Amino acid sequence: MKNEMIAMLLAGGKGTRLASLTKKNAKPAVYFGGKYRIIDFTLSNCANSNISTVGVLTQYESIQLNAYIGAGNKWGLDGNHNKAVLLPPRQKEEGSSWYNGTADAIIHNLDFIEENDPEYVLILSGDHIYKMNYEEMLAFHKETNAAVTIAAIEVPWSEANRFGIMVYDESGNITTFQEKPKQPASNMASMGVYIFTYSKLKEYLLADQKIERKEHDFGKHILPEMLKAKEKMVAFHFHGYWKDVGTIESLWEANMDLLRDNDLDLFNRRRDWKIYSEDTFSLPQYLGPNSLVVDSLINQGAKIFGHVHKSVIFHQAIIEEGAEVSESVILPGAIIRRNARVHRAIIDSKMIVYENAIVGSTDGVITLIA
Amino acid sequence: MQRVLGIVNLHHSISLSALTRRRSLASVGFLARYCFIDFVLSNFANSNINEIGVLIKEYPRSLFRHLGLADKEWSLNAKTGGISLLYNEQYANHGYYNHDINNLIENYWFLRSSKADYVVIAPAHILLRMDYRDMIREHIESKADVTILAQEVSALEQKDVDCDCLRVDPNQRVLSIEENHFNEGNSLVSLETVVMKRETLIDLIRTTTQISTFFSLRDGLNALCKDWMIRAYTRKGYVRFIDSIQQYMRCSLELIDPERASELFSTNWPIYTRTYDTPPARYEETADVKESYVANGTIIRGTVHHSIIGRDVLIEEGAVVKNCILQSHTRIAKGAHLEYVVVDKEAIISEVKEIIGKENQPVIIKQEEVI
Repeated sequence: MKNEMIAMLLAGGKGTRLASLTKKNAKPAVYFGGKYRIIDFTLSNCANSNISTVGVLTQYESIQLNAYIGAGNKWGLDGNHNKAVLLPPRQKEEGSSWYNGTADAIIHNLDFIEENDPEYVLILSGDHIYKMNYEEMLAFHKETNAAVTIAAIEVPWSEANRFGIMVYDESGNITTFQEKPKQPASNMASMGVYIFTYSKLKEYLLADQKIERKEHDFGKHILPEMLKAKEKMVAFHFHGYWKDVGTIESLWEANMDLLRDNDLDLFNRRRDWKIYSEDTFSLPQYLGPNSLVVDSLINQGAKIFGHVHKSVIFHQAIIEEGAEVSESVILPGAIIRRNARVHRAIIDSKMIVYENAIVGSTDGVITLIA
Repeated sequence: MQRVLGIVNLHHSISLSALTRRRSLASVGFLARYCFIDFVLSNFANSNINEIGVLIKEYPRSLFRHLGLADKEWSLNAKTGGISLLYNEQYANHGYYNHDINNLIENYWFLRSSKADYVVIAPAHILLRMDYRDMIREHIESKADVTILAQEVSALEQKDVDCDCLRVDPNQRVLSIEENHFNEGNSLVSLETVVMKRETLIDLIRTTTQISTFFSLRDGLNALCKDWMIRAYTRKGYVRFIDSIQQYMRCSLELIDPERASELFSTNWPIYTRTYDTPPARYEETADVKESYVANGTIIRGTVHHSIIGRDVLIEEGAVVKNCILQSHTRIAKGAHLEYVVVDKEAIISEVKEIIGKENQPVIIKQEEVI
């Protein structure tokens, strides 16, 4: 069955600024929101956008991530016509190499794309937290007859130099593209979500492959090349919650964001976009006789005997009696023992904070125990 | 290792008052995220029994919904096993004829086409953690025709339940199956669970129908005690008969004690259930929750003590819920005060201020009611 558009999800990144959270774990597999892993968002977006074929390109420390993705059944991508296919780097007749850059990863999997013979290819990253209907973006791409459509989001000027920045007119036509510029010409950032007309993608990837270079990257090489060649490139303005949780601080902030109603609507109040994930075979969460839980999110399987304030508690976590947890994120299976105090911290999976220990400070810095 | 077929027998007449008005006990919600049938299905799955049949007596629709994705959720290998839903269409409306034997006859293909050597038949209303493999092993070694699972139960525990007692000889041979006589002292109570060869079950069905077409499996076994070798296999441990609304309430609230819960739940005996990708529960600034189980998707702004709260429930600020069981998607509005109430799915308590029941007489708010 021919697919109009397939998705290629780049999930190979390390997330170096997430420190020990990504020591043995790829960034898309990092936990978020009491229950989820970051990659649940892009995969759920694909499922909800009726995309039936998703290639997931893994590389860095991919055991947990590969096992988590499996055959895609957590997101309904495992039927006869739906599939999630894991695409780690592989040996070929021509030789073998790791993926060196976002475009390089796609170049190495052109055979997979060819097999699926799509008209359009959606390039995504598994690093971001957001809800988006890719069908709407595809409609815009077709309407404008573009070679590539780039999803754009407004960012604070102070952060603009961290992103790929675009300048475009009212019709969306991109006139300038700057990769991490020191002097940004605008504050509209590329979300790393691209829809290419496949023939154009193939053309530019193959051309770039011929250039002997250490890496091949969309933002640094492919897109600027297309702009130079005056290809039609348009920006699709995205409105809504979007977070790149690249640092401990931003990961912590994104978790705290969930304690207030916001555009992300994780609780799906609008009932239009559910995020799918893994459910555990746990008892429902249990709150003990002396527990106190206020302004917090708690997942099934957690056992709370102490005090929890403004925090996110994952499955199988245990907060013992007398312990106090505030403004923190307690990952799966972590144990906070009696009378310990945890404040403004992220406690990694299966870590134990011992009796009477004090973790975290009030000076604004987020502590990570991993 | 022998191949074993598991059969869930839902032909026991259990009424949990309004909770079973439109669904069978098997589909009744329990402990915030389960249905009763999850426990027996999980016992089968964890005992490595892959091929399952469910004998449905009535109200099949909610079971079809719950078990739709059965193969995946209960960790069964869909290719080598799976769940078959067996409904007795022909006798659905005939009280005397709608029993397990007739269901098995109506769905004869099921027993005939199975390649299993042995069959385990178990009910859904008796809550326990059970590895059937030991019982099967003893059954084979003893060379009995049928083995019935039993447990010594004290008079006190027995008095409120409707159960059968087994009279056995010193070799554990069953001499008769009798209705609960409310004896003083202990009795050997049948847990309505049996093992036998698949061929023996087919034989049992034939022989029983020759005696009487009104006879159920239990009646057939009782009649054949003298001619067949029927033995008892005794177990110990947590067991609860959920056959009345009082038992339902009592056994649910009892599990709020973590020690009691660990008698039924264990990390190496997971209880599988259907999952819904519901987000974590949210406790807001005014939440006051103690000694309770809370399912995902719930938003709590009020007070909840010693209760069991199902999925996607909303408890508004100022609401007080004590010793209650709230099923999924219910809403308790500001100012409502509930004690010993069971609120069925989707019901909304918005206007009435106080609903106070008693432990032995809980108030049941029916499904989708608006109070």
